[in-house]
Amino acid sequence: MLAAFLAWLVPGVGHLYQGRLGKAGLCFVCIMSTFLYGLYLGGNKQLGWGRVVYASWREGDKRLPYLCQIGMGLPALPALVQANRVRKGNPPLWNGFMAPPSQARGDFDRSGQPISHGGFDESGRVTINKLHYDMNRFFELGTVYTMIAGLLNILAVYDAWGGPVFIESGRKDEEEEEKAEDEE
Amino acid sequence: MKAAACRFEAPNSQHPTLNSQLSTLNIPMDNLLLAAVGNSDMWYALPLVIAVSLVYSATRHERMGPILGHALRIGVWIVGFMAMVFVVLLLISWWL
Repeated sequence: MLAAFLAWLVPGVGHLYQGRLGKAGLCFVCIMSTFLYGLYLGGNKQLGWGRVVYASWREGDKRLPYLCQIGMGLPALPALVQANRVRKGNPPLWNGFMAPPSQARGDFDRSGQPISHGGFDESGRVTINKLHYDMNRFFELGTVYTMIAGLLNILAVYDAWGGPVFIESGRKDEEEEEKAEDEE
Repeated sequence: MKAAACRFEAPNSQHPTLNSQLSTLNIPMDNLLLAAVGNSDMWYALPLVIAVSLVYSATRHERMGPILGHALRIGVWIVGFMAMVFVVLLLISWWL
């Protein structure tokens, strides 16, 4: 159970705890690189990185992809911190990393000065419209990458919890290999 | 990769000038589709196919050899399935 929790917290750590080093490395590299590439696709220097991972349950912006992204564990948890801050009216941290965007019209610039179609709200938070307009299809691509990373980590968690799901013939082969190695 | 993918934009109703130029040149749509494969968003599927096939296979085997072999088979299966869906959508697009 602890291995499953560790596997959810950081991909591969559950397997590392069990001493399955090869699978730990494979899970960590595959899942983390997919997630990080998704964060890279879904952000830029101006708007902040990782804008595709955010927690929101507001009217008109129910962020269902986060239910898949939370499968990543710790790497997706800053979104909950940011969502909590924004709900309480505090400005988001880390240049808006994983922060929910504003739903305002966006008639301000980054510093809060009124400007038509500026893309930011009065407090300087980027709007959801600007995210989609500026990032275009990369917003969806980043969302898909991070969602798949989260779902893959659920598979890894299951593997850490219950061991590998053997295919019947494959199990026999691998058991025979292990017996042969033991005899040697 | 972001910048490279931005270069190709498929013709649509928002680019009437480009559409008229293509029809003037008499370029078949099939050739455009094939050309798009070389420089398009389809390449974004490749890292996903690799990651999904490796992690899925890792849940089926314990040793690295069988994992890699199974991942190769699953990867080919996924690409083949996507190719079949591509062909079906292409055929449907001809009839519509």
